[in-house]
Amino acid sequence: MIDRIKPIISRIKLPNYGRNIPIVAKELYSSTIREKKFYLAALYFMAIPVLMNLIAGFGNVVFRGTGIALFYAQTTTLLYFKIFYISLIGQILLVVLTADQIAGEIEMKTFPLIRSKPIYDSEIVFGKFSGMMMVMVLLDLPAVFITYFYYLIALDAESNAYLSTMDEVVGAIVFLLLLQGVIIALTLLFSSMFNKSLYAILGSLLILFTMSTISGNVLTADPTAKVYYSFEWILDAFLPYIFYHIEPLEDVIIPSLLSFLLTIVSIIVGLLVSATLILRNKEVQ
Amino acid sequence: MDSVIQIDHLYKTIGGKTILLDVTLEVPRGSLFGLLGPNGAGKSTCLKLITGRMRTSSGNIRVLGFDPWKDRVKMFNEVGYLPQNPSAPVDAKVLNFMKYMARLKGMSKKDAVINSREALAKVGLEKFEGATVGKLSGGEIQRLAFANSLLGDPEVLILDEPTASLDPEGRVYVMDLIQKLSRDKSQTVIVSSHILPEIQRMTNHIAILSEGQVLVAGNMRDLTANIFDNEYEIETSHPQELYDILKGEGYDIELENQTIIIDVGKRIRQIWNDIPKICAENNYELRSFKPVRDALENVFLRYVSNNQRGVGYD
Repeated sequence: MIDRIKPIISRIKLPNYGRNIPIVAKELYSSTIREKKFYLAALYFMAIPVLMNLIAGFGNVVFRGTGIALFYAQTTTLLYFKIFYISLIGQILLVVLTADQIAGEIEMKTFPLIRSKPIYDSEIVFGKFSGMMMVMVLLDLPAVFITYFYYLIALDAESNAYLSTMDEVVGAIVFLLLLQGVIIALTLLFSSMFNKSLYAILGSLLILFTMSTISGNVLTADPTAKVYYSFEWILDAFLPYIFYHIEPLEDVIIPSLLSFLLTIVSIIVGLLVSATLILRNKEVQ
Repeated sequence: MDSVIQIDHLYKTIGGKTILLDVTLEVPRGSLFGLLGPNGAGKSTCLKLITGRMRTSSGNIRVLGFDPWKDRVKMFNEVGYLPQNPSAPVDAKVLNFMKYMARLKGMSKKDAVINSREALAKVGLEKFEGATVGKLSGGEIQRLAFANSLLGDPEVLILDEPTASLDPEGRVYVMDLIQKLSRDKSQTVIVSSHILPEIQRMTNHIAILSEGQVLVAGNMRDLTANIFDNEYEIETSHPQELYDILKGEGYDIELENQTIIIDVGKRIRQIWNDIPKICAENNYELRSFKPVRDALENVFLRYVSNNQRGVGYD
């Protein structure tokens, strides 16, 4: 019976698409974490936030307990999201890490070797994106978790506070990763457009700077408000939703959270598909 | 005879400059095909078009029935490619790089390691397994990229200047390897080079490209069959004496560094009779008697120099 089924099974061809995405992602991850600029990024994204906690201390804290611990933990996490992960320097580091993933390969002439294997261009782009997201998870997670739990421990939170607020932390991190994903996808688009990583860096920074400035000013109701050079306004608008389940106090126009998340995901997919199309029609000299 | 690669009236223009001009070629299955031509003749562009790195301006290419630009992925299941002046990521370890490439070729983790080791051993790099790519010499990187193109035993191997940047020993090694691959596994191998003796040694079919055009293509034996060189060189124990005798017979002859250079003109049959006879009669030792240029060199010079003068060869 089995002998009769075997040849039939072997004749069924599963679609081969997507097989190479994890391979490319894993290769990117393991090669990036050995690079010098990764250590620079790790210093900024991991070491400095953790050190800041230790330096800040609790000079003014009179009361301790679950409520105050959660308040401090969530406020600090949100603050760090703003300061480190979505700020201008955070964006620059992300762009620099991502920019040479495709353009650098073309520049170093290793790209023809990869393309001489049965791999779709979209697999290259989506693989590179997944790999960079893995790198970002490695960079973001430890510092965020250490910060969050440091405050819970230091301010004597009850033990059930750790688990019951976990969904909020995870939600916030997913939100953060999606925002970073937009930056990564945009940089990959420029990376596949140019043959030099420097141009990819400059191009994506220019777009990011313009976009964040415009969107910051347009979405703020007060026309005299300060100019935003980051995507802080997005965090201001949505993280209180996730963390405190309250609407923000500032006068900001807010679309619903779900539609906003869907928009972000579709922007990422759109950018990656454009990157694929550019790469598909590119003649690599 | 069925062919693995068919190129049909191919044109390629880059930045207003025509690189390939009406190229029509067929590469027969199982052949060792040499793409020969001076620098800038369009050999690399031709191979880039065949491997889908570039799009044709007009014309048609079929590699194993696939269009290289549209079906690049399907095509590379069966094709191995060594680009010109290859490079590999400098930070990676040699075996890890090969494993990554083998995985992209569609192998499982276990097969990838086995195949990588085999391929590295084939090109003689097995002892560099654990080394970083950045520490390899130019020739070793060339061999590494060659090993990469061998992964998965492809039906067609496309090698762009495989012996460039290799030392003499490496050249011989790679040339022997290419011949062996074609003989043992009946793989079709396409090699480009501007070095005549290498092509002559490696291949059995050639196409000569010059200024974007195919001047001549075909079986090496057919091409060289009716080509005779007029100039022969003779080495004997008594060059001066032989020189005097042959001069007396009315040959167009010169003596350079104890070697006699003789232009046989139309007396080719006669000279093959005369020389051994004269030497035997006078007790001279005949050490060598051969054409100054070999056959392929003659073919090449005839076609290429005629093309560059703009005069057709009849």
